[in-house]
Amino acid sequence: MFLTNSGCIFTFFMIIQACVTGKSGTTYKQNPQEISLNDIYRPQYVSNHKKSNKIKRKPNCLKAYNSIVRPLKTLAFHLEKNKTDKIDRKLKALIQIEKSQCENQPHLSKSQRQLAKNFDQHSRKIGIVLPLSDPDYQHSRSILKGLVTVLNSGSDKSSRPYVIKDSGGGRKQTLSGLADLLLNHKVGMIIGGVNELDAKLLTSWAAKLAVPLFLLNKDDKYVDESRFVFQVFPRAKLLGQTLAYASLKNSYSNVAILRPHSGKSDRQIDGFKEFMKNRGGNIIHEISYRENEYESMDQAIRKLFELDDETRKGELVQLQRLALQEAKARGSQELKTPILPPRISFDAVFIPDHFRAVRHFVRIFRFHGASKIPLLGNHEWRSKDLVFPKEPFLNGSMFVDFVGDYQNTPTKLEIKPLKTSSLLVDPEQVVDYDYRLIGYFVGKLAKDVVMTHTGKRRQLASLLEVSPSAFLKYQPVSAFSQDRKSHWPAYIFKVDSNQIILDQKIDSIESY
Amino acid sequence: MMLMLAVVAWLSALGVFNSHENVLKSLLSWQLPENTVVFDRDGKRLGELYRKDHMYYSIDRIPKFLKQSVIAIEDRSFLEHKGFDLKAIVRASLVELSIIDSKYRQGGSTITQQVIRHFLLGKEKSLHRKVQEIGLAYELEKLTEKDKILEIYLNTMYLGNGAYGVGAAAKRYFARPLDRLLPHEHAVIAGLFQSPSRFNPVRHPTRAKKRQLQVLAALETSNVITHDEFEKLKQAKLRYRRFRNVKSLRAPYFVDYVQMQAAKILGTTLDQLRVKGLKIYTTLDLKMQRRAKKAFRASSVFLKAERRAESIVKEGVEEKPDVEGALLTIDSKTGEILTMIGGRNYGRSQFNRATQALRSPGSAFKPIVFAAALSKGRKWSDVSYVSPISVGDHYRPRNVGSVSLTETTLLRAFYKSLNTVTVELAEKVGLEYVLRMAAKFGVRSHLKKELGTAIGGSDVNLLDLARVYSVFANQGVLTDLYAIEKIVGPTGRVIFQAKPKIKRSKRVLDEELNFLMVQGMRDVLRHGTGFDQRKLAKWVAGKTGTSDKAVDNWFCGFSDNLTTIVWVGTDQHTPISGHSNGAVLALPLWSDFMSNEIKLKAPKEFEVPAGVVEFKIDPRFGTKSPTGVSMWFLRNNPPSSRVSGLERVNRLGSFRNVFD
Repeated sequence: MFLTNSGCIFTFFMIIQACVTGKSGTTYKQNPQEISLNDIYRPQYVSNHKKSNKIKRKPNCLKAYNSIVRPLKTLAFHLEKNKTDKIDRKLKALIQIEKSQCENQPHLSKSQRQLAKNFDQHSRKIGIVLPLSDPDYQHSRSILKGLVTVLNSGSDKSSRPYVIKDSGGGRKQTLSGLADLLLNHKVGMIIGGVNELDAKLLTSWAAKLAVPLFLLNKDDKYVDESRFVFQVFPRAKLLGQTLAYASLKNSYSNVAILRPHSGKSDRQIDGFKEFMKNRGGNIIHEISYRENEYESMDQAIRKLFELDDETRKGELVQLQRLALQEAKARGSQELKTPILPPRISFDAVFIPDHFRAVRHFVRIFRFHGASKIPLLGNHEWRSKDLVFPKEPFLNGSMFVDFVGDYQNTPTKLEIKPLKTSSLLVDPEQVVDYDYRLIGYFVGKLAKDVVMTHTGKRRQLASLLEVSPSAFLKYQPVSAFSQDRKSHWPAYIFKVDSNQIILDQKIDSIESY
Repeated sequence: MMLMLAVVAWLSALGVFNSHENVLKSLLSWQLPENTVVFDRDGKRLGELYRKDHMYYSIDRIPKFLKQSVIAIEDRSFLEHKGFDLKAIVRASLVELSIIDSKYRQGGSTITQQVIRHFLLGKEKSLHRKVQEIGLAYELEKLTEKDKILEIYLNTMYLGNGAYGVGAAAKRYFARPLDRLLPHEHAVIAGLFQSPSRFNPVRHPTRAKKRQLQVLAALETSNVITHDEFEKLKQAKLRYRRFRNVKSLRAPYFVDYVQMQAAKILGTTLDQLRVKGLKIYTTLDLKMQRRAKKAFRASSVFLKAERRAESIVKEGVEEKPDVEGALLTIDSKTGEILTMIGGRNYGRSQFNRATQALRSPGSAFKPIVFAAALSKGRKWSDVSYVSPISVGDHYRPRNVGSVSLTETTLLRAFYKSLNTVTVELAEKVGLEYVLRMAAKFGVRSHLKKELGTAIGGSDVNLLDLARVYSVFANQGVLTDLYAIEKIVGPTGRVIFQAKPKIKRSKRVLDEELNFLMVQGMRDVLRHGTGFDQRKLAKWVAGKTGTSDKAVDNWFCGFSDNLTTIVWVGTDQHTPISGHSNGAVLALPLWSDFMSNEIKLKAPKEFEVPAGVVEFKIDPRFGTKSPTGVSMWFLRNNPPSSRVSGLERVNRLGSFRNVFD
């Protein structure tokens, strides 16, 4: 009840209010303190706004025109010609307001205000914008599968609660689709932004028109653009933090990191380091290597084990002497090559790379004389090939992932775990499954928010603050962290007796 | 009187009046040592074994003219005297003292005396020896007939050039049997008795001619020939042939090997074996041997290897060592040794590299390791990671070309000959097990109990490898190698017969497992180190082998019925630089020889046993793939339906790239 009430207060009138106070939707970016993410999630924030809304001032006509009508005109311009007629009468009337009308009236008329309010009404449908026809984003089809699986469930086929737009044709197509979703279908929320172009466009329009956007982009920078933007993609940094949490729990407080040169794991590493730093852990080494280059990987391990360290020259000379003595004792002239033992000054090594690199690293570790080192890894470790053929060195190692047991995934997603382990799937399918699951969870969240709440579109954004009860059992305590970034749960897996086992699900690392 | 008594006493002291009947009888019963002859599988002579080259001719088979010539020049009164010829002694003494001159020098010793001296007294010259000689000659003449004495004389006296007796001399100087020589040639041989080396017709033809004329003159003097005949024989042209033992022409290394084997079988020494007059029938296929030799001589690999061979310093001088080679072919079904080449030049070196040299087999040993692994349940599709490895404290085997950071199936590791995978496999399967397997396969050389053996760290010989590879060619059955089919004694009695095949055969590997290995070795040619000869892969299978720095270069392979092992290297174990390896230095030679044999023998494809199945498998990742290579599996141990993330990572460069 509280949610509903507070939501009602936080309406599209915010736009109007912004016009009144001289602060448009985009001014939010310039003054984040005013409507910060934390504020959104704080109940007192709602109450604060409750107070501010009580200030009754008529909206300035010109400002309202610039912040509402003009963007709508622009959006309508992108509509395909055959779809312009479908815009409802009231919205048409709002779009048809001309700037010149403000010359005669300093404030919006009552009817005009009514028209503006009407735009914020949504149809309880969800707009999906995905680059489906772009061959570079094949996985958007997997996301769509997850989305439609959940959105179709329990609904009549004839009244599908979502509208799909393909953004694969570029900017024009994205805008055209977005215009159709907002002007004709009046969707309550947009899901999309897989690629950078979509993410930018959708973020921009979500901010302009106060439309909640579930952004499916792995980059979480867009949430800073608008409080209507929610990053719903699993977060690499969070996984890194969770792994650091698990590492510390296992008393691996001195950790070395092998960093892939491509930078693909930088966010995870950053999260890992940040957490370790804040919680008293130490990063002993951080060594970069070029993936798929043996020499580079070998050099990284030599550095890690301090095999070429100048300070070890004396040690090497000593070994050479011993070899000489031994050869003399054997009566042989053949000297055994002295090999420096590895110097291991850390508790574990974090290798945020795929299992193949891990397997090769293990062999290089062993080549340089290390028989056992606990290793830490990421979601790319999760393959049968990590432990097959058997690799005893890995026993006791652990890695983090954002997907738990595949056995527990919704059957309609048609995710098939391997017969030999419900924790593993066909490697050719794994990415498809990842995106299906992402699509499914995002769809579930969107459905719970949009379809169960009538009224103003703007209102929906505030619902997300406290909607975790709507989520599936796979969902964390809260769907988003305070900065509107997804709050996926993380799972810690361990390698034990040459098998991958699910060690624990970590919903929150805050309690550590 | 006193003088007479003194002479009698002296003669008595010399034993002149003693009976020497027993000694002389033993002389007469003396059998001419007969050469042992070696034959190929079709009964063609391969060579003769002897201590002294004798060819026995009974007196009636010796041409009359030769006998007359010898008597005329050596002992004109042979048919008349009683063992010694006083006149001749006096004449010889006078000639010796230059009191009289003679057209031709004739010694004072009769033929009988020479026989006595040759067999009983030796060459010491002293008065009392001469007296003894005369006494014994006299006694011998009493015991036997002139013909017998002459027969012994003609068959036993050394006539130069390694020939003992007139038969051997005819063979060695004229390359013809004695009965096919012409009179003027008989005269040459007759002239040799006095001083075989001085009158050696091959070395000193002018002296020999001069001596021939002396013989002819003696014949004329003895009225054996007329002057016209003398002139005619004098004019007759002499054509000598340089003697080359048949053994050194055809299969010298094989004959050497056979005599050692025969001595072993009969429990005798080589010297004894050579004079037993045995007929050794062997398994060698002379025609194939010739083809092998031709391929060997024509092959360019030696030239290539010689250019690349690293120099050695010998007595302060840097020189290139001779590049040597060896080739051995056996019938895989029967174990018969069909060809054997133990080196490039028997004249230069008689060291048999096919049987005596112990060399590192390099990767040619690997089939044993992989067979052991397959027999322990491993599959060709099993995946391994490839990178440098460290075994124990100091053993760090390398892959040729520093292959690392990749993955491979066992099959690919096999046909690409990856050392690290093989060593790890041997470690996992168990070195003891691998060594036991090697022994079962017929490796008899000592193998070191260290993992390096898995990649050729223990030296073996060609026979070891021939046994190993013949097992694969023979559906997993080892049929022991042999070279001697039978040995026939001088009387015609068979004194040794090789055991029948069934008694020499034992199963080493299941037929199905063996088939998997055969297919693996076909893949060496289809996809692996033997790719240059892939055209042969339909009919043959095999494995390259290269020891460190290409010191030893091998190709060991087989068709359905022939197993051939080829080795190329130097006796000094020196490196051969450049891109040298078994595929470059041994396989071309192997291919030259075997491709010809395949054409001639029309081999069959390898039979597919019932208990195996074929799948197309990705050679790196072990997953079923329509574009993969054919891999064979036991029907009860098929490839797992495992899907591989490795393949995906390899293709896309990432695995779950949701955050990339």
